[in-house]
Amino acid sequence: MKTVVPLLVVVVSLLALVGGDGSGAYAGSGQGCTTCHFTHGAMGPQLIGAATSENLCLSCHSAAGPGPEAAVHNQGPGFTCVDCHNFRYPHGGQVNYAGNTNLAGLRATIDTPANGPLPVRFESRGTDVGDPPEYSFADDSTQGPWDGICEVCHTQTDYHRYNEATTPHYDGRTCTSSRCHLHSTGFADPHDSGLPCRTCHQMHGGR
Amino acid sequence: MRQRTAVTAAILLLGWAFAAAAWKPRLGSSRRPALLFPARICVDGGRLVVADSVAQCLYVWNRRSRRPRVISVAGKPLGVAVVSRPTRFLVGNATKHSVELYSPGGRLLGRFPEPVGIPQAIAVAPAKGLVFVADAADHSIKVFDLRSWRLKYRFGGPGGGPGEFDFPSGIAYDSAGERLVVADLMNRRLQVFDLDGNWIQTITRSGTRPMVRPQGVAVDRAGNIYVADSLWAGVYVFDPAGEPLDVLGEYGTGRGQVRTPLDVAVAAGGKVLVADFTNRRITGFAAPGGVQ
Repeated sequence: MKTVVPLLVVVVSLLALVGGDGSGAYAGSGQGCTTCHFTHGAMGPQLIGAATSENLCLSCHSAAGPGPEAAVHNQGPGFTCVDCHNFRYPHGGQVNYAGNTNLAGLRATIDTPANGPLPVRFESRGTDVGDPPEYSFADDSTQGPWDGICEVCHTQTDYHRYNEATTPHYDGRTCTSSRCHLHSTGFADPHDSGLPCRTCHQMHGGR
Repeated sequence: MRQRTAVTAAILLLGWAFAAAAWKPRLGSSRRPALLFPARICVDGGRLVVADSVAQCLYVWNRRSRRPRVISVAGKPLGVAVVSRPTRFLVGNATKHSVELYSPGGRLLGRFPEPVGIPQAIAVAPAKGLVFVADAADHSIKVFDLRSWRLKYRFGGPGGGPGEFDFPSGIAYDSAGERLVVADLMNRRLQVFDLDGNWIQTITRSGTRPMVRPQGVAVDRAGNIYVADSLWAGVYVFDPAGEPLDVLGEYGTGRGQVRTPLDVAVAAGGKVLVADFTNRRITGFAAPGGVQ
């Protein structure tokens, strides 16, 4: 450890000096190493400028930042952005089943609290022509196995528990689409998220 | 029989009417937290206004009110400011790409005619009759006439040089120095301008600590500058000349700690209020130092 940290400092400093243009998906993005890493005054691991990786992500991906809005996972402490996202590829760079870009930089294997490391079946969002219709971003198909990015961790939810035949949830909609379990509300239940009622319900003319 | 049914119906109707009149959103209950994700705040004459971008509303606390008034916004509110006589709330609606005016009762009174792509922050110079809006979409500051709502002029543009911006996210009017202070988020700096948009000064660090994600900025009556840095999880305080005075807060969830501060405001008594996005709360600091 004593030799690793100085070495890391030297590497980061050299990259900064020669105009290093980011690692992973940041390469060519205009966001250099020093967007996230600091040779002096680093507060977190890997010389990141924030105290935690979560704070590093949210410093740009909050409500008022330049990145798409995200929020902390609402199911208690211990879940952070990097549990699901590979932070070296937060903006893509990984490949999904069809050879397309994994836009969200999701991990191929999630270290789940109940079952340890589990592979994630990461499919397309099912919105483009030719996409497998029964799959989605969260792989909430009406038939198992339930091994999507949300499902691998969930063992106590009403719907879509990992590898367990529960009733298909709400008309087969995807977890994060349809404004139900939004990333920006920490994937909260819509009734706990504080979203306005009118987000889902129409007082007049609802069907 | 018919009379009895009518009386019962009338009683039920009255009961429903009283219940409906007495009902208020249970803010602060376990089912619905008081603040979801506070993005921007402002204070004016004992009134605290919080723009919650996820709940899509403003929370307005008056000096004596324990519960806030909730003003719904049709879209994602960001920048917020208050004007007086008559009292109006100016709200940057990032969904509608406009600046909107609301009455204290929550009625939408109108929109500025000139669109603003991402109205990140709003500052008002009442004596000058000017409204300054930081637009992160075209990296500029747009200056409006307070009475006509018309665009008077704009300055800035994308870039990293003096007078240019990369995602301006905060703006404050310094009444003592007749200046504007802009939080230039992705350029990691503050820039100071005169009211015509002429560049005066750039501030990039507080002592040895560089500014990293300056999200929100405020100026007190003496001209001291307060900057909420969402990555360092603290508030930098500078004197009017840009010399560092103090750092408020540290990373955490406890008393006097913040996690993702997105905005800062200074009350008339000097109390510094910080909108903490991740901790979902407003934290108050006595300037400088102690927590309130």
